[in-house]
Amino acid sequence: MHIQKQILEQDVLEASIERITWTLENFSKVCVSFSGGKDSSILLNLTAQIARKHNKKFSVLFIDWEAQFNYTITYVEQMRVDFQDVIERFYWVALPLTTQNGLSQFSPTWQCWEPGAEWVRQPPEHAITQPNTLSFYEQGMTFEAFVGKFADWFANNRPAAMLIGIRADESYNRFMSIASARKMRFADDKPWTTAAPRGHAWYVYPIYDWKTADIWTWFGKTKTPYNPLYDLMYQAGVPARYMRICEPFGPEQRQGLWLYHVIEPERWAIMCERVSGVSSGGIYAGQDNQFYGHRKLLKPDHLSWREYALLLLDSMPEQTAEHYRNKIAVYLRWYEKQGISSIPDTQSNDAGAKDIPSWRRICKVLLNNDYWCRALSFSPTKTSTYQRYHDRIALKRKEWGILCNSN
Amino acid sequence: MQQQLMQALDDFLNTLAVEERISAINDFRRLLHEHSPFSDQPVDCVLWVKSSKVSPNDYNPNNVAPPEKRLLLKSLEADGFTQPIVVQEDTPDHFEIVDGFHRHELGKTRASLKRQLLGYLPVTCLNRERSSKTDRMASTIRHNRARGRHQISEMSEIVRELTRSGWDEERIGKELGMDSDEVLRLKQINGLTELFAGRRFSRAWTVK
Repeated sequence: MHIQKQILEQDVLEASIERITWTLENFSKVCVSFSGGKDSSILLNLTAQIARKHNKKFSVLFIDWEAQFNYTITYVEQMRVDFQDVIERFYWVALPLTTQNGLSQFSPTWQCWEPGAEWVRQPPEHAITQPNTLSFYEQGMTFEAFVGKFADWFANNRPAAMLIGIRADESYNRFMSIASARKMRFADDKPWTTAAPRGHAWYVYPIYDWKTADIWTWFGKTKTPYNPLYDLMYQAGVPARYMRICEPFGPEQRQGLWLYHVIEPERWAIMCERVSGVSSGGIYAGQDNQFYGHRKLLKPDHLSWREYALLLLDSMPEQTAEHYRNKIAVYLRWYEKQGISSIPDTQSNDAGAKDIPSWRRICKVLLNNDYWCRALSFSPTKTSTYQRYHDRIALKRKEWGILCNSN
Repeated sequence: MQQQLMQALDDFLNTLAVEERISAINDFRRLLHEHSPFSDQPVDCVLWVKSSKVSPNDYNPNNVAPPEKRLLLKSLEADGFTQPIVVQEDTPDHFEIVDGFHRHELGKTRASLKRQLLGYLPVTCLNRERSSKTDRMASTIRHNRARGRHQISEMSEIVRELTRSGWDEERIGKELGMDSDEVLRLKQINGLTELFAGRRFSRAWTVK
């Protein structure tokens, strides 16, 4: 599929103001998804300005990951106070959420604000810490499930918009979430809207066409304060395109992990105790090397990719290995049913964004600690149904004869 | 002649109590240093000075997080001080650290080390002629940064060697200052099944 970009007359700022204005005028409920990062900061600033001008109000969703820089927390708090006059409700969520931990084979998932664990820091007083505050919340649900259900809950059976600050030039996946011809748009001329899977919520991406340089141009021209972490990252030599501030341990996010060590050593120390693999992550993540198979994917000479994948599986902690075996079996089974009885050991472009099957790709997933197997086109399994799913697939594997102990 | 001197020195040192002995040895070392063909090399003269006479500088940007600090302590306990703390004599008989702040801190505060070191620290002085603050700062940064990174494949080889000689993952992690994920991944990168011979078997299963 080839998607052609059409260049508009307007610049990105004018266009975004128009999109946000349209959103505030057409939806009775609007919520900005805010992370403290530069993109969502622009979105929040623009939305607040426009809301003031048109006498509207909106809500904000901020997911507090517990393991966050103080700079970010201080900045988010500042924004909360600064925009109080136009913010209907600021959902500062500090509830246990499960997300993948791209740093560890021993604890491949991680739960922020896990009950009983020694937290890296305490949530602010006004944060949502009581599970029953949000009726849809389930203990330890995944971040992805939370975000989806939050939108439905927020809409409450009326049209509502979730404003999200993703940009197409960030990654292929993000480009597709804007450009996909298959998704449901609000209207034909609004490709920057997507219907949420259920209910009445719409995801709106008003700054989807901004480039990284546009972001900094805006902060530069308007002299709007931003998260000071970016200056520190800049001083630390992090290229602008890598400056992400969000959950810290995913395969993408771990690139910036070493910064904690440099910028907030005390917090780093506590994180090393709290989260498995943080210490080695600080050494190996953020470089292109074979440790996590990031851009440099190597295998031992004496093994084929398939053999290497099996060795990786066999040497992992058993529970983690079984999780991956299930995913890989489903993957292989799918190709079997397409008439591809065995996927190749390697083929061209098999380690890229597009899912081109091979054992090399599977090795990449395993080395990457890509626990949800996104690179094999899976999405996260819901926490509540995980065990059932796990047991069912484990049985199926024997039926299919894929990755059961006999091979 | 040399023989006689050595004998005299031996006899003399035997008469001295600890503190006097340390002070005398320092004096001898200074004398030897003056005559040494390597007198322009700071390490040619390592002196033992009271830790109270050694102070940190006010600019060191190097930060050592607890996992590394634990490893440093382990290193000092296992191997002892293998190199002196690099200092500059800022006022007579007082020294400012150029390199080795964290070793100095551990040596000064950890009970086990304090006992072994009798409250002293080994120092070597930089050339007194280059004593401006900028020189010291530059020297600190050079000490901090002029060192390599471990290559992953070579590290992986070392882990293999250790595994073959019977070290388990826990011991490797402890002795080398690695977390469990680092040890496991370095073993996996080698791709040798034998490295996992020690692990427990998977769970048995049956079908209904």
